[in-house]
Amino acid sequence: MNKKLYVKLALTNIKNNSLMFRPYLFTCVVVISLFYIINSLVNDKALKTISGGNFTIDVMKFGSILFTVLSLFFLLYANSFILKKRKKEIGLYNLLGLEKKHIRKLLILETVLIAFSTIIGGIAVGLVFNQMVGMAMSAMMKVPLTVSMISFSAIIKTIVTFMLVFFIIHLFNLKQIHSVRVIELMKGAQIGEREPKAKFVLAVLGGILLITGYFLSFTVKDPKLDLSEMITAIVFVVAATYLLFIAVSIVLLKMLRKNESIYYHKNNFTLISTMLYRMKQNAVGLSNIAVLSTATLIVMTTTISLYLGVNTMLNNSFQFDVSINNPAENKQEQQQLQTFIDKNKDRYDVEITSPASYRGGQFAADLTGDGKDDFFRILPMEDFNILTNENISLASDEVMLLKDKETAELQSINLDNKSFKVKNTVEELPIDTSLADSVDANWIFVIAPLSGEFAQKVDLVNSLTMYQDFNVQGDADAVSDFSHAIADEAQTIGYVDVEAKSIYKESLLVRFGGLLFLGIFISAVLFVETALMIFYKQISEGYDDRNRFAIMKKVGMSEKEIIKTIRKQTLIMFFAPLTVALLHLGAGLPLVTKIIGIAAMDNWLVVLGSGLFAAIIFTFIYGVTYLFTEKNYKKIVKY
Amino acid sequence: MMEILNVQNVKKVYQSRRGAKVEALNDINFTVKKGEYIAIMGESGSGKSTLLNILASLDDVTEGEVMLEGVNYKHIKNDELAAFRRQHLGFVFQDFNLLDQFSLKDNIFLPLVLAGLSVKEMNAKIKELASTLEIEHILEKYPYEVSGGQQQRAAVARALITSPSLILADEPTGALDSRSAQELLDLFARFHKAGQTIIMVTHSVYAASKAGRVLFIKDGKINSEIHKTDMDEDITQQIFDMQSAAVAKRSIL
Repeated sequence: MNKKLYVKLALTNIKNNSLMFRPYLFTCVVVISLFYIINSLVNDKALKTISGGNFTIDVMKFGSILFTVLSLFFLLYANSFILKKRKKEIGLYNLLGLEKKHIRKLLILETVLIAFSTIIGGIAVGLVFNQMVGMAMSAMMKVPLTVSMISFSAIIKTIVTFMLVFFIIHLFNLKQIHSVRVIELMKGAQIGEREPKAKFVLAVLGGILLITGYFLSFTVKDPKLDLSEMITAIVFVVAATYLLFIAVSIVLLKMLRKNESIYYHKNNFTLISTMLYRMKQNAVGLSNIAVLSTATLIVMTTTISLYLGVNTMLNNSFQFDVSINNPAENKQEQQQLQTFIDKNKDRYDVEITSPASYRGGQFAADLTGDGKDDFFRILPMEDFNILTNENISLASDEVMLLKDKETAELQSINLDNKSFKVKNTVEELPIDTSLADSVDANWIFVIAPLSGEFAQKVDLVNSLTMYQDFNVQGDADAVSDFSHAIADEAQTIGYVDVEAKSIYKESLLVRFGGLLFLGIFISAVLFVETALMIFYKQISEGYDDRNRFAIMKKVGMSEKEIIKTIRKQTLIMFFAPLTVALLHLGAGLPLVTKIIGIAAMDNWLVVLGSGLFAAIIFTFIYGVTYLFTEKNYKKIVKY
Repeated sequence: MMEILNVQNVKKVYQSRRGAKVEALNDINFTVKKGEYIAIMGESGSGKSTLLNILASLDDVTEGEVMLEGVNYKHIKNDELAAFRRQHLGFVFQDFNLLDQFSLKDNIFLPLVLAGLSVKEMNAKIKELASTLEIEHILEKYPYEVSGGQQQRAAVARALITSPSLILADEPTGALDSRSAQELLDLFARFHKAGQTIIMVTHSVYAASKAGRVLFIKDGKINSEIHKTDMDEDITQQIFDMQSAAVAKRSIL
């Protein structure tokens, strides 16, 4: 056969199967363009230089690998649907005298055509949207990125990666064709499948696993400590999801069928029996969709929460806009910085408020006697009196503590085998005590006389650190500029450490902006691919259902009733996994809150809001897919 | 006897996508009296399937009228068509067209469920019918679990359970072995004797010879017909003659 004929045949094949190929091609283009964009942004020079940028680059690189693997899996899945639908056509070619090697040649040509057009299309779309996505990322991270027009390295990487992906897909195609006999190819769709057996034991097991999984996810207190519990919860819920669709659905449907007054009603009759009949092939597919949807929702919720929670997180870790600390012997440098601050605050049009200047030191020892070392910060009694305008005096073996959950109960603390009486606890201190609430480790704030025994035991006098905490009031940009100026000056002077809320915020925004960005990317890919999966599932069923509905029409089912049944059927098939995913998300929210808590953020309202937002977006996109699929399904069924 | 079906000047023209017109039926006229058993014979492409679809109200006519029990198909509203079909027509197909998802019983119940009957009424209706058709013992089985003959008998039960005015059978013996085909034809004869009106499209001379009247359709027209004076009359030879005459005519052309 000559080459031209092959090309013509391949093109005609793609055109004639356009209903099946179009969503596949669309998905390929979307995935390829996203891949190009992500790889072009990773090369951004500005991103490499900013604080937290490398973290973001690593995360994005990881993300691009993750979604390539996911995409391969999905494209294979979609492709197998297309091939199944085309088996008859391929069988016909075989019957007409095309040998397997000719068919192989034809398939290669088709794959090459698809690969060629979608890679070019994907890169073209990527080039167009690259700038826009770059700007969106800049806005999210609040840093100006210089997005290059064309990234050749990204183009090459995209081409190589997806040539490989298409090659793997092609190998799978060949394997499918190879293992099938002509007569089977000609038959196409299968006939007379037995209805699934009700598996009560599995259904009950599914119920138990689900409840246990949910219960575990509610009871996990500290995700770091209860890691195994958390993983068990996740495994249980995933397993329960599969059992839910495989066993529970069938048991439920059979129960409905047993009830004659429900079953023999014209609205339910065909619906229940078709669902029961279809569930066998659908259960795993629906479970996959439910699990993927849940993953998408959780990824979205987590990343949105982290991003929106930046301010909560900042306030939890910074009580003052600027904190300066330096060893006591570098007092001169500190004063130099102080002069700089005093001199420049007017120039930046900001005011310094609630300044607190004190000495102290940070140590670690087992104070509470529980066998674990505690971190603690000593605030000399003398400095405490100055800060609070009080006149407290403590004996050499007495201390005071900042009150929190742990210290409230303490009568005494130990250091070096010596017990110190806790004379009192104070509700709050006018200094930065955010360490006391730190999620990583609870710091104990100890107030002790400078010359007392407690201070002597840690040799406080010779390791004194000086602290300066203050707030900066003024325009947000001015505060940020001023903070940067102080930090830069401290760097020049040396020996003085400066931590500023606004600087930390910038790096957090870059990190979480990057994470959010990636979260959206991964979610987008999962969205598109989940939609694709549902589409193919429903469409391939449409071909099977076509005959069924033709019979029903002859037996006396009106077009209206047929449409009603189709709508109900698709609605259930579509929204059952979504409902399950939303349920999982709801049950998973407390866990998400706790996981995010590791990053010093525990605002459950933010998590709830993000979860709702993710759910709405997901449901919307899902709904659009539903409408599109239903339209095409109806077209197929109504011959 | 009362006239049940009246087909007058029916013409059906299909328009192909390119605009070419194909005349499938031209000037079809015939009437069917209540309780008649009619066979329609014709070669592939003669228009007999089109005619059956029109009688089944699945397809509409280009010109002419079809009236079943005094109701003109043209006057039935679109959303009432399904109900009309359910009440007046019963279908038996060559490949049975039972639904795999239903047990035989549920397949038979399908038109009744669509009509909104109660379980009690349905059970009452199926009882006698199932025993006549000898499928009582397999009612709970699924189509793929029983033989072709049993499937076709279930399909007949589905067609009859609504007590339709007219049974339309499309090559009902086409997919059956000779024994099952004989059984089915015997059943048709029994129902006919009980007063059931049947129109059967068939290729089989033997099947057609069991009908009371045979219409021959060729190139969209009713060419000729054979009337039995007595149901026991053997018209096999006449049918053969008619067919060979048609072939002879063609060879002259």
